[in-house]
Amino acid sequence: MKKRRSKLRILADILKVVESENGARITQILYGANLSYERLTKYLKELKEKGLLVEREENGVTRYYLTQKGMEFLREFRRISRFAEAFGIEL
Amino acid sequence: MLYLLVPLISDFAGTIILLLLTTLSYRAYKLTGYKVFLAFFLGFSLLASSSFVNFLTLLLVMGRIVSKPFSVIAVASSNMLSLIVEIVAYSWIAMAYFEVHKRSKEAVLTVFPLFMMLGNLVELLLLSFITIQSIGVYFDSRKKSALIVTVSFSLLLFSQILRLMQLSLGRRHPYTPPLFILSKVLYFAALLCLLALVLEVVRTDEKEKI
Repeated sequence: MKKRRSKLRILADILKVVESENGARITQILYGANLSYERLTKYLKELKEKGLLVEREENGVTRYYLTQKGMEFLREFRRISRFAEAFGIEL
Repeated sequence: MLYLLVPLISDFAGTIILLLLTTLSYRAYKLTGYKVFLAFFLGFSLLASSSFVNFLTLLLVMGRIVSKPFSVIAVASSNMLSLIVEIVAYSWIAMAYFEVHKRSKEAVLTVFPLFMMLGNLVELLLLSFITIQSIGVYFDSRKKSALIVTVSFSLLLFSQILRLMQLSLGRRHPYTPPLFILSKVLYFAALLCLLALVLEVVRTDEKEKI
């Protein structure tokens, strides 16, 4: 049985998809982060409120971009993830 | 005094490395809110402070800032303090590891060897002390019975060393051969030596009666 992801990991997964797409559409995040539409919109709202993501309208399409704070968060998450792994802790 | 340079440098470098780990643990706690990182933070920060106290003491001694009798007291106190702080620090880190494995079915398997290891380590120290004392007794008296006791305790000591090795190497399987079997053989040989002592004592007793 697969382990449930922590909220922190889900948020990081969303940010990773946005980072890799360099401006991701909601469907790309949906597949990339493996989330339902309802849960994704809830998390996207939270990430925007925390200032980690920004939403932009481009040619009638909504795209999400990482902010400076979002990039720093992702960098810190990766660092801490590696640190935690060394002690057998899953984030 | 130059020979103190190596521990001085290692204590200083150790303090910095441990402070880096302390910082990472704190950042991990801040990001995740997991209590386990708080335990690691406390453990590493205590180890860093212990290392720093050792560094400061060595610096005082090397710089001859304190008088010789005072430096002896300073070194002894700092060593004692370090020991206590390190025990507390490792307890925090051990608790953190226990917290990590708490929910897994292996929780008992991670705690059980730890207690076994601690208990066996205490036994090893006690047996070492007993063996050294019995060797002293033999060299003083040169009696056969004293030799039997020395051999017996030495065998018990070797058996204990093997038990500790077995616990650290095959902790998931407490009865891993061949260390387990060898340890048992040595233990039995020690008991045979003690039996020989009993026989020796009884025989002497009978001789005296006659």
